[in-house]
Amino acid sequence: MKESVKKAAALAELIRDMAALDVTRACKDDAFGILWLIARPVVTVMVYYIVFQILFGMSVEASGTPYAVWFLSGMLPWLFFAETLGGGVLCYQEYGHLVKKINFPVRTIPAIKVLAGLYIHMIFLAFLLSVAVFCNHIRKIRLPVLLYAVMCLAVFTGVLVKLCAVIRPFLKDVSELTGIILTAGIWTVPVLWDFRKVPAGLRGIFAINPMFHVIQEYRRGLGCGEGECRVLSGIMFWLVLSLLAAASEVVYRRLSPHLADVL
Amino acid sequence: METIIDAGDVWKMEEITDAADAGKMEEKTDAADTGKMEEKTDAADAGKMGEITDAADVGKKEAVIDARDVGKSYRLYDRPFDRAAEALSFGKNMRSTEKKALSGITFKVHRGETVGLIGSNGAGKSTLLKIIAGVVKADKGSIKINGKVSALLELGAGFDPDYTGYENVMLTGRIMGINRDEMEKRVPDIISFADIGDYINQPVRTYSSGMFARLAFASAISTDADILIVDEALSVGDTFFQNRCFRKFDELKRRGVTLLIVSHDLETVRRMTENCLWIEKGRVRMYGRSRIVCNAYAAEIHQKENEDYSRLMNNEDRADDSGYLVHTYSGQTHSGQARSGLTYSEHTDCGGGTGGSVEDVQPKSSDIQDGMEVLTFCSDETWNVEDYPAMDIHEGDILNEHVRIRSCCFLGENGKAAGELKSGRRYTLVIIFETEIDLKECIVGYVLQNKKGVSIVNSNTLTVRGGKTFELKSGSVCRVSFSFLLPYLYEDEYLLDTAIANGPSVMINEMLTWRYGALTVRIRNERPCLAVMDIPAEVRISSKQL
Repeated sequence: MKESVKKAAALAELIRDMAALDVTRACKDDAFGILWLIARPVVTVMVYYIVFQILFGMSVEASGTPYAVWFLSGMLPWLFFAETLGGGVLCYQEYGHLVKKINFPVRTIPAIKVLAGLYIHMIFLAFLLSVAVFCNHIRKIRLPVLLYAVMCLAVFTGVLVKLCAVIRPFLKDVSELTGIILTAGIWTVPVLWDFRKVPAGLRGIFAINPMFHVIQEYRRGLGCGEGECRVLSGIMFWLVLSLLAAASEVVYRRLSPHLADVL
Repeated sequence: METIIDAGDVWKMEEITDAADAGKMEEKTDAADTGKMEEKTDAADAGKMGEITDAADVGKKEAVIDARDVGKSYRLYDRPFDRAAEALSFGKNMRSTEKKALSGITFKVHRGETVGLIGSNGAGKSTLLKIIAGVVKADKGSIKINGKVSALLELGAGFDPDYTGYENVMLTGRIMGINRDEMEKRVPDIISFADIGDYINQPVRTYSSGMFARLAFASAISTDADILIVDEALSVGDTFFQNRCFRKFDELKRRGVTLLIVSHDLETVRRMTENCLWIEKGRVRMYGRSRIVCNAYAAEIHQKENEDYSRLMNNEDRADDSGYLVHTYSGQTHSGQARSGLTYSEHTDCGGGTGGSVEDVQPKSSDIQDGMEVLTFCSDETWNVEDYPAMDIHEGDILNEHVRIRSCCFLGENGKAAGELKSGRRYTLVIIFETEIDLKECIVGYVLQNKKGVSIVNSNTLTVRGGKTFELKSGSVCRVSFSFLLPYLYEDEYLLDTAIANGPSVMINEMLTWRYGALTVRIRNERPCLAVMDIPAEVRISSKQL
């Protein structure tokens, strides 16, 4: 018993360090290294910010929330979701050597990817908090809610990565599918637009999307609104999540023994 | 005569050791599938040496690998999607064709043993290793692994090409369950063993294959594994590194590490391993003492070559030495003058030569130039098979039941059998065999190889006699002797293989018998020989005043 706890702890530590290595993998040989990792989302955020805030003159009505904080509170979780799912789908290909050459707990490979994404997400959240401090918004931030939101995001993304990644070696199309979902998906959640503009009768439709709950909890945690349709979206989130978790586990168990053969 | 008996004793001693070890094998293979070879070997060796078998078993440690009826089949699909669809569907699905990679594999490996794994390409060696390494799951039977496995599969070691050598070594060690502090302490040793210096901080994808293999090997052996699997990993390294690895293997063996070595180089397997598992078409063909298994394996390769030969012979045309097709000789022409050889008959023992034999009694000692000429004994001397040390033959050494080597030995100038040879002296290698069939184009040869398996001399009656074969009638016994000045060879132990074939050329012939390691001889030097060989030279030194 004690032995297995020790082993699990060692594995967790290993996963943590592998995730840290994974963060820098993409830009290992670049002169500016990790700066590029941060540059890409920063530019994305800036483009949206300039277009919507300055060109379209959008603002968040009747809450007195600084637009930058409101915008980032929706955009950062979505960026994490998009980047982690987009990259995580390929995790078994990327770590094929661990699947094929040594006896590695293959199940933990998606976790490496999610954890690596979380590391970068943390840097952005720290940036967001400093913006909040700058805008004199810091008092409105509810840390427990924010932590819950991060947890929801990580778990949901993790389950999706697990499901998609294990199918991907068999079915290349999974990459195209996730690409489309991510491109279109950003408009199905109130990241770039204000949910309060949606007519009350239609709101329930949006609440079915599990990412809706995640975004709304981020907004709530960062003091940008009270989160409409909370109960419905909360129930939907956990319902969809448990269904997905069960499905991904079934698929994983059936497909993972074949991984070493197809990679 | 005394010395001859001595030599005979040496033979028997060797047999005893073999049989004792083969006893272990019997126990392991009892449930294994019943290859023809296997049964015979077991019966022959174990039967002879019952008590010693038991004695050898005492003190054996527990099994670290215990495979029982392990089977694995791969499914072939037209598209990867079919594989996923089949894996996910509930009912039976016919989207695939099944290909059995392994079936009924049963064997045990004990702690500290060194086991070789041989078999032709596609026999299932890699699959078995992957199952032992835990990378692939067997779908039938059970395999118990008692200990930590470190594997070098197909040259890989779970290295990430994008990470530096250092990062990879650290990760590999930690995946194997060694904590970071401990790994950091070991890294300097790993770097120095792999001999890659500053490259340790470069991504491994920039490494040469040799560097990669060295680091992978160094990393694999420093992970406290109980079982080390080495799949062809050493073939890319240079000789220095290979030697270092072999020394490391010895050290690991002393530490009780179980080694599993796959190699296409039979010599490596023979030298490195105690026992050997031969897999063919996914089944255990033979498991036992390495020398026996390797010999049987090599014998089968020869047999396959023989089949190719007979196929060639069935065609009207066939390839000659140079690989070109030439017209087949018809059987009758062999007795003609041009191809005349020595013919012995059972009753006369020797000297029953036909007309052609006279020209074959070739060079007298005075004609010998480079100390390497060959005399074909067919003179009036009389000889008896009983005067020469008898030879025991393993089942694996026989390709053709009708041709048997009776004796093989070196005679010194005094005519007595010699177990130890001195460079620069004259020796006669005698090979005596009997045949129950007519041999139209007989070739008798031998290979002298050093302990590393490098052939030093590979000679036969055909090449030294200018392409001439000789004819033997059924029911005769034949003595062939090669007499030569032993060149200056590196002082060491050497192995001598002997072979008898039937066919018109070195390339095209049917191998009848190939006896591996027929003799072990020690060659001594009166003057130091620092390389494989030294050559007799005429040295002139002249000097002039400037």
